[in-house]
Amino acid sequence: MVPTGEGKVAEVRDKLVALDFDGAKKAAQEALDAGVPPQQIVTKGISEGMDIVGRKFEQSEYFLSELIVAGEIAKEVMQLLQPHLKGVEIKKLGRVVVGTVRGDLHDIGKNIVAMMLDTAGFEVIDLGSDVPAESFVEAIKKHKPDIVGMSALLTVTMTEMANVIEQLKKNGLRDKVKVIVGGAPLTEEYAKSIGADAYGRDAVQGVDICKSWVAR
Amino acid sequence: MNSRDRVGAILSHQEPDRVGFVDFMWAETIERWEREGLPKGAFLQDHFGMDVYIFGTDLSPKYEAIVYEEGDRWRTFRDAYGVKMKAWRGRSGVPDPMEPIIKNLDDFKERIEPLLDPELPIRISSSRYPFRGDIEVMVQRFQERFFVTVGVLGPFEYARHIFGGVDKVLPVMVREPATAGYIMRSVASFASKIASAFLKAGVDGLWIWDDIAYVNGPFFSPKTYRDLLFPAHAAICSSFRSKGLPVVLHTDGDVRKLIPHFIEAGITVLQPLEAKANMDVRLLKEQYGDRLSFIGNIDARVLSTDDVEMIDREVKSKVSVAGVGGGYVLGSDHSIPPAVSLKTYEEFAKMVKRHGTYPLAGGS
Repeated sequence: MVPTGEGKVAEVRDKLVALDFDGAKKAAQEALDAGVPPQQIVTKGISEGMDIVGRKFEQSEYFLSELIVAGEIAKEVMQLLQPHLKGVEIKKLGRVVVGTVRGDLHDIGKNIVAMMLDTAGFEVIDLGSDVPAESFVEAIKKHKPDIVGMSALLTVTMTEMANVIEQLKKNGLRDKVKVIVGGAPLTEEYAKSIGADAYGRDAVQGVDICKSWVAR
Repeated sequence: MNSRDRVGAILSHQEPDRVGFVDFMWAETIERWEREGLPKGAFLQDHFGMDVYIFGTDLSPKYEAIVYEEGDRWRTFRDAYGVKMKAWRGRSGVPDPMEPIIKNLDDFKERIEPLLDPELPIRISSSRYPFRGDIEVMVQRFQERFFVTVGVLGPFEYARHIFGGVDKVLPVMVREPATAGYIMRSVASFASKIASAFLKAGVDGLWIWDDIAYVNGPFFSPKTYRDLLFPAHAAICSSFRSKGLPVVLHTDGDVRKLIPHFIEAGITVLQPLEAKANMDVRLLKEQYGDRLSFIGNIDARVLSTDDVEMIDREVKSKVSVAGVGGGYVLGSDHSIPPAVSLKTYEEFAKMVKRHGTYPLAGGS
């Protein structure tokens, strides 16, 4: 028979996958009440649940709408767990700086990627949108991330990504981070041409690529 | 043959003298072209020999515009929908919503719905043609030179805007479908009345602007489309379809999963067929050419190369298939970006006749 605590953690995962907002929060509270360590609810409940959501998205069972709702549920459950996580160290998979490049205000794609990286166990520093190259450079110097992710939605702004990579080289930072890029006008070829390490077709693939990098 | 008869034949799946032509440009593109010699203020449909004219309509609740802040690079303002927006100064690009006008159904019923009164003359059209009589005169004048359609904002785009963005409206569609459905039906009812007013004024077709997808597919599942948006689209289409008139759906992105539903809703034409989103008019023609006409699909990335030979191959390969039996109007797969020079675009416009005159030459 599955212990109550573990069963409740599995229920958090399953309710999140089923997009049951109230069910996921209730199961998380019951897991806490049953004495399950909160970090276990994060890794086994939220992260595993978002992983399954990602797979459903890849299989076209879920779409962007379901991805966003799952992210909202994950965020709410995390807020519930936050007071119980004080002082608890959760080992992060890695650290990622993300931002939408200068001249571009679109942030939905970047926000979804940031959310999925967070729930997957990364530490995410989100620089926002309209981020100049200098800000990417400063953030990398300050936070020393493993990965930098850049987003652009317009053909006239995606060229800024090449400028950011150039600034990383000039500041001796290029070989200290992996660079992943994404956004509607981008292609694999374009990412290669500007010297990025990878192109993320969508948020799920982007997270998979980041996971593969930190696993090495 | 005039444009009206030409496009009328094309959208009835007949072969007229040549394929049709219509396209759209960013404001920055026009600015570049004016620097390159395009006469300032040129009427682009006439200048490039396009065949279709779209009457704009204003479905907003007509909130008074307020400018909150003007910086060097951008400004924030309230638009006619009551949404607080941020937009770049001196360049085009879709403005970004900062604060929505609604967060729930009660907000919609209080702040939007009561203002959507189709009986006010000014609601029938943009403020350029506030009265019915003006519209009838202008429709007839434009029909001397173009196939004339009326354009309305679609229910998803409308809801997306008043909720403050796609990341705000999509969760409502999943978690509160009754709310989303109510809003979309209400907007569709209003759009339908506006469209019907133009139908009575004698336009040749309807154009619905409703971006419901992106490069990776629809924003939502086919089931969600069926439950929430299909009834709204069908309502908007109905008056035009009852007269046998065409209805164009403009949506970016990969909408292949939804096409059978579009057809059932009454959509008869798809535009712009975004090439980088897996939309290929040659394949779509094969699958749906007996039920749908197509506008667009000439890859804007190819146009942006300024390589006229490459563009020529792109046009020929698509026109030679899509134009068979009518059913195709040439155009880009998106709005023409400022990377495309005037010279290149003028060459592109000539390709309409070179490759699109019937009988068509063989495929590439």
